[in-house]
Amino acid sequence: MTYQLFQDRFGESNIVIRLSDNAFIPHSPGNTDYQDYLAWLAEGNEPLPADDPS
Amino acid sequence: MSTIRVNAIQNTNTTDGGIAIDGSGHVSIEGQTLPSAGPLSNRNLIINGAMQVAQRGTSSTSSDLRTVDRFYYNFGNTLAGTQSQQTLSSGTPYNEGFRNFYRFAISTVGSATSTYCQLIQGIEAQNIATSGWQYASADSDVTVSFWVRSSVAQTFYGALKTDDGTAQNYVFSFALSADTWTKVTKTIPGNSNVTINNDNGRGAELVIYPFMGTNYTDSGVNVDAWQAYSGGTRAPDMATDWVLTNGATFDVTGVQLEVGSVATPFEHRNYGDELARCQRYYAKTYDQGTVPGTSTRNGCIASTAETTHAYASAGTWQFPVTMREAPTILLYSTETGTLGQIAADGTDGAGVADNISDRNAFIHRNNSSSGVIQNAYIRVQATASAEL
Repeated sequence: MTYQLFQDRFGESNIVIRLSDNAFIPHSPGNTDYQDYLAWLAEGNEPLPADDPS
Repeated sequence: MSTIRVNAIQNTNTTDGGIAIDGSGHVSIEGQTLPSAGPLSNRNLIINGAMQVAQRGTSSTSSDLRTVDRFYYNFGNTLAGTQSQQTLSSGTPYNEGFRNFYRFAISTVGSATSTYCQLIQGIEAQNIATSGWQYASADSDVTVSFWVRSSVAQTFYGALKTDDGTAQNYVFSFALSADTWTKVTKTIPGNSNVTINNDNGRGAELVIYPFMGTNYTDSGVNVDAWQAYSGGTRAPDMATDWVLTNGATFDVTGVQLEVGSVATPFEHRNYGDELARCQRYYAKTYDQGTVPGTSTRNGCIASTAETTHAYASAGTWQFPVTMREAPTILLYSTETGTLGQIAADGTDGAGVADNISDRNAFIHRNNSSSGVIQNAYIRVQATASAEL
């Protein structure tokens, strides 16, 4: 599993992209996909940096 | 105060119907058991128990949430097969109003040790916490009931597992004859070790085990008793008849979990009500009969580009109901069905969903996409998942 950070046009980031299916995952504590992302981070993994702001 | 002690009350001219009172004091009227606790309506804590709603599709060879809403067959480790929503056309469950069931059919048999195949529905904690079940008291019960059929005769297991605090597991068994619909009922008492939070997380899960290999079971596990949950002791060791039979099937419908010590008749809900309950956990822009990823404009989020930019807004998607949590969003091109894409007229470009809340999400093409001409139609389909 690989993730990429995201920045909007104003430089804000409130989602992370799961690259396997281009899923947009909000930074929402009860979202199980976000929980999986946090667990992935806790294992020492690092997401790809954000592209230029959209 | 006086008490009339009788076992039944009937009309003097017939032995049909009437009121019956069993040895535990449970009352039935014309054979229909009345609740022993809890409300008279909205009794079923299970969503989509009649397997009516299947927003993601009706058949899949993949594990987990792929077909019937809120339920999933979680399977793997050499075992392969198809999960599907099936139509019911006859039999006792049909006569009780069921028209669908949820099937797993084996295409590659599993192993006795590592294979797992479990049917699960996660239950939102606050739905249990506010149900009236005094889950920490051994004097307060919930009752599970469901119709089940296997193509292979065997004893199977099920469990109610709680997830908050120290996870607890209550395992029960049921024996099936081959190709015979059987109604299973199991009353489960509370336990002082059980914790259920009053929040929107997973408080419990109802599990039915077609098979779990010995990596996940133990001969010392007791049925009909609470114990601390462990991944290696989910159930007693299981017979391998079903899992080693190519083409074997396992069918379930009419799943109900209710407060009280009796299994009342299944609480049928109409399709619209059940769909709305499911949409708290999963929603899509497509028509209900259309599988996500299908190339279609029907139901899409759409707008027109007002200026010439690389990016363009498709609009804000208002979810049909407030979702359990801000959901994960997938986007699909209306023109090609391609994941992650938004169409501008006939040209796909990378899509973005952000500002996601439990009510809506803002959908747009990002600025790394190819240019969008003025007045181009911006169209996209989407799904939102806030599953437990």
